[in-house]
Amino acid sequence: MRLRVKAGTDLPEPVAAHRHPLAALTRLHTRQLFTYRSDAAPGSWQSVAPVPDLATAIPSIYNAGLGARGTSYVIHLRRDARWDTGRPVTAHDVVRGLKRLCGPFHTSTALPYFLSTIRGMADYRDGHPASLRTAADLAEHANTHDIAGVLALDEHTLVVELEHPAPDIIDILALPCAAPVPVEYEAFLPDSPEVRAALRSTGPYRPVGIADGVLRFEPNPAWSPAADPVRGRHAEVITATPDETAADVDLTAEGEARAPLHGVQYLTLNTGGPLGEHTARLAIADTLDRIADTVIPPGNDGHHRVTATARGALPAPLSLTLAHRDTDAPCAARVTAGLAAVGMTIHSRPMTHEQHQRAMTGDRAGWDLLLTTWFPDWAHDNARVFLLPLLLGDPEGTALAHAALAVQDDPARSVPALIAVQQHALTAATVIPLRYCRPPAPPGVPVLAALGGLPDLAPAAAPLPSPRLESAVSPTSPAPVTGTVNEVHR
Amino acid sequence: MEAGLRARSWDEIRSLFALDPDSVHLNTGTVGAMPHEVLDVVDRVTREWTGGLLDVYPPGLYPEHRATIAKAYGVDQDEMVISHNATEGMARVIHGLDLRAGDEVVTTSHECYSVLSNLNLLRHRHGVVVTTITLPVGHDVRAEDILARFEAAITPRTKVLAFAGITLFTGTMLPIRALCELAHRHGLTTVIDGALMAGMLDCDFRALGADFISCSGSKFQCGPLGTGLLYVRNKVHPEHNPLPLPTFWPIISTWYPMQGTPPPRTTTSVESCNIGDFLQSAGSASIARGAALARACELWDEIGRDRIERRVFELAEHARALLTERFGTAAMYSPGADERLRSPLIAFHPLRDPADAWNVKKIAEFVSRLESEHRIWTRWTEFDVEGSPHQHYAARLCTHLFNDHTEIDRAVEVMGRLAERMS
Repeated sequence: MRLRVKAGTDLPEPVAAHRHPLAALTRLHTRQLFTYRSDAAPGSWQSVAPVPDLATAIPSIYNAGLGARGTSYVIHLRRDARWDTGRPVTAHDVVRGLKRLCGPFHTSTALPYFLSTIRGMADYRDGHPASLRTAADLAEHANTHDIAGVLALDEHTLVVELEHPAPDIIDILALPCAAPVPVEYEAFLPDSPEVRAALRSTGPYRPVGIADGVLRFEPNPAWSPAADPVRGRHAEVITATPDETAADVDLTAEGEARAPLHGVQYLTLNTGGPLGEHTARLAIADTLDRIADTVIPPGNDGHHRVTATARGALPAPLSLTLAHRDTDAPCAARVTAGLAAVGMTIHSRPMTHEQHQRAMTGDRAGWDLLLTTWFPDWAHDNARVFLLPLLLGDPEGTALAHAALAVQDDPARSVPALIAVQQHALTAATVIPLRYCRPPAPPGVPVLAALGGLPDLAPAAAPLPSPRLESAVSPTSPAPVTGTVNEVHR
Repeated sequence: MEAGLRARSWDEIRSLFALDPDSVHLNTGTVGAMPHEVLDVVDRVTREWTGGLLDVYPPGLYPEHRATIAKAYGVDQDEMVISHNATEGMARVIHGLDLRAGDEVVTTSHECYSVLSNLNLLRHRHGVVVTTITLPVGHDVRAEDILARFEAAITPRTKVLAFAGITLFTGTMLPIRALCELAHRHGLTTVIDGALMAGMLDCDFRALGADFISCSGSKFQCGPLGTGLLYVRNKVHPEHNPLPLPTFWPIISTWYPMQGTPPPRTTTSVESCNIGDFLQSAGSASIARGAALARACELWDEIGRDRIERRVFELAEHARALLTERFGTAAMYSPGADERLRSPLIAFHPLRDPADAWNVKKIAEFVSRLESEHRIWTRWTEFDVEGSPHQHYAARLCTHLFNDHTEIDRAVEVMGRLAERMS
């Protein structure tokens, strides 16, 4: 199978896969604790409901995987999932992956989801000494420090404890960046060229290298369809290159949107420069011709219309740098034209994925306005997906977002808190929503609707059973710890 | 034999039950063992009512059975319902209360999940505020500690106290009467999950002072699976509960009036309607199921509910003493120092390392090996502990009238040895 891909052939380590142009390829060789099915009807609940992947079941009250307080999850791993080296995938690999996600050498745009939910993960991230330089340093730190709320009880059992009840934690753990990490990666810095050249596989394929600008996947000999309820393997060899002229699947083609939820195209305003002036930010928000007026787009959890009545005026003619990815160039041109019309000078700065990813995770250098297109990573209880990334440069807004997410499970408190955080964001004008949009998907390819419409290149060989039957209440699902029946049905 | 059950030895009474002679059943908190006679009633009545052209609806209201059972619990037939289980009873009560947005319910995180689930549904459906307190655990807990937590959680918007008479996770007997009196002082409705009370306690439901008590029929009462008892206060006896009857909607009902409304709820000791009939009438019912539960209750009356309660608690104290001696008071999640809080359900941490208390695999393995290697049936429970970030897990045993000292001695001895090996 020949694929035409959007950019490059440098397959990221899964820890860096979030929003990467080649993220769709990650699913060929990487499994997570949980994932989504691609064989469900677009827009159906099955298409956005997490299903077990490396885990045996979705933890719930019914299988003793979740306690009444809603902050302790017990996750059992399949015993038949293996790395391409033949070694079993273990709970320790999952712990290693979560620690690697916190490392100082690469910051995922998805990291705030984890830091705001898993107990002790922020402390673990903050505990890395500035003196760390090498992969060995990082491994030494990981092997001598723990995330307080992540416990591997044994090779096949993991406990994940949360700061607050978070109904979206299963979706968070379904992100490809939460994939387990093999011990071999300890020899490499996260997402370094060295590790990209030595990627290991748990999925149906394994990357075997790049030759003549073509990335090649071959079957993973240790993968078995019996051990993977979600994926299939329908081609012997898969190749991928942006230069493919006779592609079986063209991932650069933009067909109809099949993910059910709206995302948002927005500007982040860098308050460290000329836009530290509140009135200037308000003036930009007033000036731009835009359709979107909420931080969280319609259809997503926490979408509320709020009123931001403050008006601003430009204190003086401004010269600003607008950073954006190539894919957002048309929107960047509209923004530039709109601001130029009121006398601003706008310098357009196209960014690579890596540059944009660094800007989104705290690098404030070299831009005043950052244009981003953001799609939800999951479908239900997903206010976190917008609030944390969009407000990253706004400490007060981020604090309000954390406060709202901490009461996410309590509707009486969460609704006003969600309104408050969005009211703040729009009044402070640290973020300006421009328009709502849905991710266009390549024609003819199944998509993972819950992962922002990510194409699925390894569709399931056979229809999955209902996620509910499989995950929640089936007495026949593997449950090695249940020595006795829970007293939930009386 | 029945006529003389009160005078029979416990060995003889044990022979009434369909127990596996090679097993030690210390898990009545999950499901009891049916007497042979109750099993026979299930079979006989099912056959009697199968394939005939009899009118199946009147007997499905169980009027006589409800009267007999009600009497055993100190209440009247119109206040007693034979339900499918404690969960169904709790759900019908929770959703039948006249709660509105902003009204508050105080409950605990140690309730059965089915209770918390229904309360959460109320929260989402009507905007009811659910205030959840975490009960204290351990040997030294006192009733006053529990009362103080409930009292601190009550606000001017509180409308309901909802709590388990005996918690399934740690076997804590809540101070039921004192909590009901607390509710009376604040004008609150009391909803008790009594899943573990029926068949264990010789109690007068009316004297407890609650508005609703939902019980299991298949745990300590040893009726068939799929049976329960629901007490709904339907008259005012000021000496027990001086509050007016709460507004209550008997959801799922065939006989709730199709035109007009039922009479106003009484303000005296004479009922104004048969609220039990409204609740009991819910389409076709298993006549055998009700008959079998009634027979189990009759057997309890014949043995003597006071005698059963003494026996159950005497065995429990025997087990508690052995467990405390073997594992230490620090290992006990169940109360011990305050006699008022003790129940025949005893939860404890069997392993030496305290950190194993949040290792579900080890606790589950402990219980599983008791069963598979020694045919001792217990269970493990999970619950939160105030001040701990972890979900705790405990081994739990229950004593009932069909247990004896010898098997408890053996079970605790086996538990001690197994714990040593696993530690």
